[in-house]
Amino acid sequence: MKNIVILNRFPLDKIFYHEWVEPGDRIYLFSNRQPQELGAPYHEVRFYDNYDSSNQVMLDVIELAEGVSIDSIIALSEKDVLRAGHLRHHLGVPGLDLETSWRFRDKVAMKDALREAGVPTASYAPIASVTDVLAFMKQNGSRIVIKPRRDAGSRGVSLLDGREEIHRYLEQAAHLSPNEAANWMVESRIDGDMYHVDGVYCAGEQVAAFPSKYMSSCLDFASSGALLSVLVDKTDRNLANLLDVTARAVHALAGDNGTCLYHAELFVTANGEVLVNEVACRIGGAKIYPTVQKICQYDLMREYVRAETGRSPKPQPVDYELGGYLLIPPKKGTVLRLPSERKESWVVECEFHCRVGQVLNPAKSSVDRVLAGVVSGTDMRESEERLRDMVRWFDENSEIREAVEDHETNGI
Amino acid sequence: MDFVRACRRNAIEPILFLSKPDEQPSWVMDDYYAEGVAIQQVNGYDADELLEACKRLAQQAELVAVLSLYEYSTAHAAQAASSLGLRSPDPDVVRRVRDKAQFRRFVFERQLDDTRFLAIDARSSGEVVWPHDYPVVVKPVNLTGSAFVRHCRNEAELQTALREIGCLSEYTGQAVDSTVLIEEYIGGSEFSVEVLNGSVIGIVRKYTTDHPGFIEVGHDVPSDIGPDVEQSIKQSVQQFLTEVGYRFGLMHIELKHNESGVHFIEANPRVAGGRIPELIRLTQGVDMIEAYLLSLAGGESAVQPRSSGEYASIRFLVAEEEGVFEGYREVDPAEHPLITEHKFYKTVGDAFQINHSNRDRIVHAVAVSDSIERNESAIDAFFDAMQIREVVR
Repeated sequence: MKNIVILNRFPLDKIFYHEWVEPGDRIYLFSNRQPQELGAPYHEVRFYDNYDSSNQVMLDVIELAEGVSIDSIIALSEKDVLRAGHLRHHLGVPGLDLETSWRFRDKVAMKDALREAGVPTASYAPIASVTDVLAFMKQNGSRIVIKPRRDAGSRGVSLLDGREEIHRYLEQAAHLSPNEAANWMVESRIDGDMYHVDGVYCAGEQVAAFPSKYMSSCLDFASSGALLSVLVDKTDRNLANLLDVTARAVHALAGDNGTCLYHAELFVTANGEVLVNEVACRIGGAKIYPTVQKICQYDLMREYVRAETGRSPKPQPVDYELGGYLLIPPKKGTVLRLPSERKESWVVECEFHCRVGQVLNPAKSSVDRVLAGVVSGTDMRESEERLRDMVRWFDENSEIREAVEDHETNGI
Repeated sequence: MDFVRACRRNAIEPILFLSKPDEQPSWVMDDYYAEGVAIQQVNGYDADELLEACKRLAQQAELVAVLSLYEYSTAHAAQAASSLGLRSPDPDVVRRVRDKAQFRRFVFERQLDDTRFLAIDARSSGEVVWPHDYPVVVKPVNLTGSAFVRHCRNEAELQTALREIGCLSEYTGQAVDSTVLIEEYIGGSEFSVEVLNGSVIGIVRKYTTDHPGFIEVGHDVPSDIGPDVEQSIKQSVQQFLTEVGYRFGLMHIELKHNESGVHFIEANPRVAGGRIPELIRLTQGVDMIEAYLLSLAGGESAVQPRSSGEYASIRFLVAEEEGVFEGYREVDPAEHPLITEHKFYKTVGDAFQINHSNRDRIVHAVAVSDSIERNESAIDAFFDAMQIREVVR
């Protein structure tokens, strides 16, 4: 019997932690506020109205530890990574501690650890003020990325090209004043394709790693472009390199005995060089989880929970199927028309996240969506074609019109 | 904003302490920003931090008063004011009445109210047995705004309500006390009594939903009760104030009146919410907030209500299902002359869930006329014209 603390931000009607542990294990669930009946399967549940920012969550776990010997602390979300690290450190619970969780969460600490381990990354520097940006530009050229050190979903990322554009950006960048800039960093822009690898790392060993390629940029959400990603062919010439660099990166961050779920993003340049963009110790966003679960028949979260609680996770299937996912971001306007559903057998998931009559605001991050889908495909090319077919189908059969100002609809 | 304006009318500069200004809804902050109110990031739930911040302020300017308009920090504000030698409600009394279980025990033991009750620990594993008839009302002892107050008609509903509160650890930034009050449901007409410095300033008729929660959906001032009921209510309230020793400060007392007399619901040592001070100002000629501010600053403590002969009513439109507030029609004020104000509690585009508490409010409107019925009709027509019901899903 184990006492397992789970820090949760996911809907409990979709994630069934109690099915992933052994009979007799006790789950103490600390969660954002959800219907109380969804907490019924758990040994003890605490809900929080301001879950993301409330220190009460940590205080309650610490109070629990006064009477219960906690064996594991599980955190699947980016916002819980540091919280879990602090708690493990404070309570002496095994797992990613303060230092290792910080390496995953803070992109400068991450890049420092990767550089030290000889894992290739883009040039980078922390920003303490605009002077650091100018100094970086002098040394590394003027194709740069400025981004928050600790955020997710591509929020706050700015791609800048050329001295003029950078100066215009800096003129407006109040967040880079010396008193505010501590959460920002600058990197060189890498020309290449972007991939992501999602996997489970258990006690210093790779248990599973599923590489995918973005067929569009994560930053396309800002221009209402769809986010497309396909699982990489087993014959892809970059596959071995991707898996090798990912394994070295996760090892550098999680350590010899670390256990974590991870979502790594990597660039592959035209000459085949693989560089790590970043690695998060959480489940990948967008539709990564259902894609791997339904296409590859591998439940990343379940196997991580098993690994974190000291049980053997299932090994990765050798011959898994291929496919991909798409997210179509919202654009400002009112939804006037939507297509009917897709019935092809290769459409594994197709979910509308809007309805006719709804007023939409533009996407704020790469995972905002009006439509999300998962498709199967025999290889990358077919998966991509099917995803693009879904995008065309949505575009041709939906209508989202910018709200028209008139006295009848003021306030909309 | 009434408090800000009252300060400015009296050449007092308000300084607002907020623990997380960035997390406040825009409908709260927009007015403060518009008025140029100085905002400092101070956690009012932390007595030491609050006192230190007040001491720092006192070194920079003449600090005339420390008060909280928000339930959760009333006791800390009173304590800080007392520590600094400023006029203030008695912090011990504030603490005692704020805790709903302590309040209930106090009025029972002093024979001010015979409502039967039970205070239990909702996180203890033992089975809770209510030994009397149903229905009952279940309340967390330290929350406000009708949050998680539940009307339970039977054993099963009681257990559900207890589980609901038992597994809630934090609400609106406030740690939720595990003590839960179970008390017999009292029928009858509901009122609030607004008290300033020991005197009853107004009696307000209240309307609430009845199940599963008690959302306040309307108030009328004056309450249109007969002299006997008024006398009975005032007498009970004065007796309570005397027994509890509350002579200075605001008190918002909620009670019910039925054939067996007056029954207390709870007492809140703060200014009433739900625009009640404005209804009183409109009909009784007393600005409770300004009067309280002046008394804190050392001025005259007593005020004398003078009825205008009119009725002021407020009605709240509340969300009944979760959804998104998508918009409303702009209404010409000239077509609704009885409406004196309206305010939204949600911003267009806000998604909301159902809390069965005052947090479910979408908008309110206030009307003033020679009858409550006319006010109600005017507000209904106003809400209809805004077409809010049609666009909230």
